[in-house]
Amino acid sequence: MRAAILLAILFALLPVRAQAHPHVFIQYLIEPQIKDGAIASVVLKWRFDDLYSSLVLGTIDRDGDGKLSQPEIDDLAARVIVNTAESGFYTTFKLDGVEWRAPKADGFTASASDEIVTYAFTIVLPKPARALEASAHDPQYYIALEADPKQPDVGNGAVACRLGKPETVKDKTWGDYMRDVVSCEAKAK
Amino acid sequence: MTLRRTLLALLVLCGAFFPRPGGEAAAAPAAALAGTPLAVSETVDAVVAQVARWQSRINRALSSEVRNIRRGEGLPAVLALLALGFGYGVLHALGPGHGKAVVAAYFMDRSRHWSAAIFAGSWIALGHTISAVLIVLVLAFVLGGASMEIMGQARLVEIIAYGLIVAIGLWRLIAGLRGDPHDHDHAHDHGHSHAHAHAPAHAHSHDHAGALPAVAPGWTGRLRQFLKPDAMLGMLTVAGAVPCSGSMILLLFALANGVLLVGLAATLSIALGMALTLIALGFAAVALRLRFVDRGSPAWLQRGLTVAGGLLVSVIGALMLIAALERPPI
Repeated sequence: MRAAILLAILFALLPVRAQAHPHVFIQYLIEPQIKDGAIASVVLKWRFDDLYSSLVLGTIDRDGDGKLSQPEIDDLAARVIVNTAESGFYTTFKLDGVEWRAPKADGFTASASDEIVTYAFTIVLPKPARALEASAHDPQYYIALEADPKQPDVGNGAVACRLGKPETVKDKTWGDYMRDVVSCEAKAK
Repeated sequence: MTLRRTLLALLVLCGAFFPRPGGEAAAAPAAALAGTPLAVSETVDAVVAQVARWQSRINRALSSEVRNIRRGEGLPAVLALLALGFGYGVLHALGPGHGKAVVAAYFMDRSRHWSAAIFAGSWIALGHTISAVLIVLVLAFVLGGASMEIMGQARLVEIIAYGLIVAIGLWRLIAGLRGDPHDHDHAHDHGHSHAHAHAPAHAHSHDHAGALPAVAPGWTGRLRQFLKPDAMLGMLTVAGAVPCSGSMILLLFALANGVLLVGLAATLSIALGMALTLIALGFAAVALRLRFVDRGSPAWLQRGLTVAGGLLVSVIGALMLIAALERPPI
């Protein structure tokens, strides 16, 4: 009979994730850049939700014109580039099947249109890859990262990206989670 | 127009609360039974993903209503925003860091009256919201609307509050282990006759009224009893002091759109929604206790529950503390 109490306790102890509630929503896009027939770098784009975009604009867009000028972008970069790199941009890459997490961004820019803010990180791969997978997730789920179902068409047909089936990742601390997978492949010429 | 908008908001909410058959509540104990409580089944994963999609949708709906109000759409948009806020609150309190563990521990610690569920749930939900409102208003004035910095400062408050929660949880854990959980166990008498019926004036006791034992000391008495300063009230207060990030973000958004008052109303609506979830959890805890623990249960069980409650709060508090420490501004 006391099993019910035990159940109640276990319920409260459920993985933090199973009860999760993100505060920031990001749609991510992968834009591979081709060099000599292989993917040499990617531009990782984060498109924020309305509320968080407003938060960023309220802080960064000093002149309030709804656009981000270069000095404003530099200000933003100083705030976010180190922090986001620390988390590896919440992104796990697979380069020709080998897992890799980006330690830093080689470039950063941001834009705003219709009150929506987009960050763009340029990430140079350790070595060119023919196939690349990218899946992003915040294990603590403060941020909900979701791949844009319409991944951009870049590279003039030399590379194609598509949204694959979500994969489940085991996580003992924060609870298992599902994340979207974007797979890109450089086309042989 | 008003009606349609409100209906639409309600529809969005219904979808949010009933994501699919065998939702979180059904799947969760199954997962807990499956072995380690930290492992979840794929069903739970799917439900989590579904709930996240609905939250994202509510988020979008909230922001578009605020914009509609800015554009002067008036009452229909305000009503829709309040309805959405309420639903957001209910859903939001299901998430971590909104005092569920603290409410559970509060009722595990000792036997309490039904009314304590209403007080405890409202106490945390209101505190949670008041804290968010104060931080936003004060810092917006000091920092001049630099929203990212305000969120950063709020994180400090969170870190301190979670640290205190861990400390109080450990204190209860040790008290339970050493066998001195309380000065006295139950001031109130469950055997009290139902002769003088239920105080009829309390609208919010609705269908639970039948299950309530006669409210001997009256609601003011109950409230006074609830407000007696002790470790557990301290724990509820600290949990309430954690500012609600969701409310803060919405409030900053309203501020940026020049509709602060509407934002404040929406925040209150969120608080009511969160209170509902927490009160429901409190009722469930009281019901479980009445059913399984209070009637002539051995002392070790009571001590065990105090210990478990302390452990629960310390573990969840520590996880939330780590999460707040690790969360970078993005």
